[in-house]
Amino acid sequence: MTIKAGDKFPSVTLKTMGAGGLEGVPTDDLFKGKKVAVFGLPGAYTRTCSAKHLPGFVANTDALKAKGVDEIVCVSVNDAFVMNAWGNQHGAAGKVKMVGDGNAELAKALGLELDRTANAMGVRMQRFSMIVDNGVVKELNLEDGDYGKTSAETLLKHLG
Amino acid sequence: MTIKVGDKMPSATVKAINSGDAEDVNTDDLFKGKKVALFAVPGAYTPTCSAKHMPNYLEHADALKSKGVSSIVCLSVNDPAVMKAWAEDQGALGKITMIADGSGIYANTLGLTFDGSAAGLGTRAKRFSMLIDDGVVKSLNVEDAPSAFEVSSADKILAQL
Repeated sequence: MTIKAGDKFPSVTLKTMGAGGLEGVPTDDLFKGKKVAVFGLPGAYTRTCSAKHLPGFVANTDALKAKGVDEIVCVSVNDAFVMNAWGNQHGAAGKVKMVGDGNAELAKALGLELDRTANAMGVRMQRFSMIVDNGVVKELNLEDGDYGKTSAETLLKHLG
Repeated sequence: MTIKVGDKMPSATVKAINSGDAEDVNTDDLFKGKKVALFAVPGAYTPTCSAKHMPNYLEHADALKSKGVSSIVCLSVNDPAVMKAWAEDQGALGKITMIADGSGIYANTLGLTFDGSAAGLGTRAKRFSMLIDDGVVKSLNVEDAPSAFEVSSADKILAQL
């Protein structure tokens, strides 16, 4: 079943690169007592993700925070090493927290998995954006054609 | 079943990156009529692979070629976008053929995978090296642990030539 507005965000442990190396990121801790903008994408270094999706959130970090967002999280079915390298290339440090769902556990728990085996990508995650408030999904946006519905710019408009 | 010395490399279509974008390549064509040094890594951008394994093969690329190796191939269970970005980052583009085995199909066929789920890696290729002559495995050097870097070095392949 696909997650929807009003649902609790699934409890899984993701990975990120911290100062001392690989760290576990339990989603329950990530969202507790905070308003978080989360966006998910099919793959680090892939075209739309690199040209538009991540750069849009990096560029709009301050605007999102001005509207009450405490943290911005980017997640993909890539490992934390790849997410960290990709984030650094796009200046995400200090703006967008890069977390890896390398086992596709979150993609499956959200019901947003995407089979890209034929493209040598294995199982990935659909492109989405969300506002998660204290662990509850307040808004979920999925793409249905051209890129746009899941952008930082769209999320900003919805936040009023 | 794990591949062994004397076996023919399995036939499959893989995504290979030379100097441009990934292209579908049949492994029979990749290995046919030449000597190939292949090394596999658990993951692009991971510490041992980026700091030691790939640099070691780049450093010894000329020495390998002078001993009759026609091409050097790096395989990892990463997708084509990540493999290309990593190759660029490492200065390997155009020097080492990258096989982006992102769905893990070829590593699985070779019987050389490990479960990296605890580190959020999913299923990956073990760290190993191979000398392949006209599609037949001449030597196979598999590390005991994914983070180990001893038997799968370019130096060892050079000694086996």
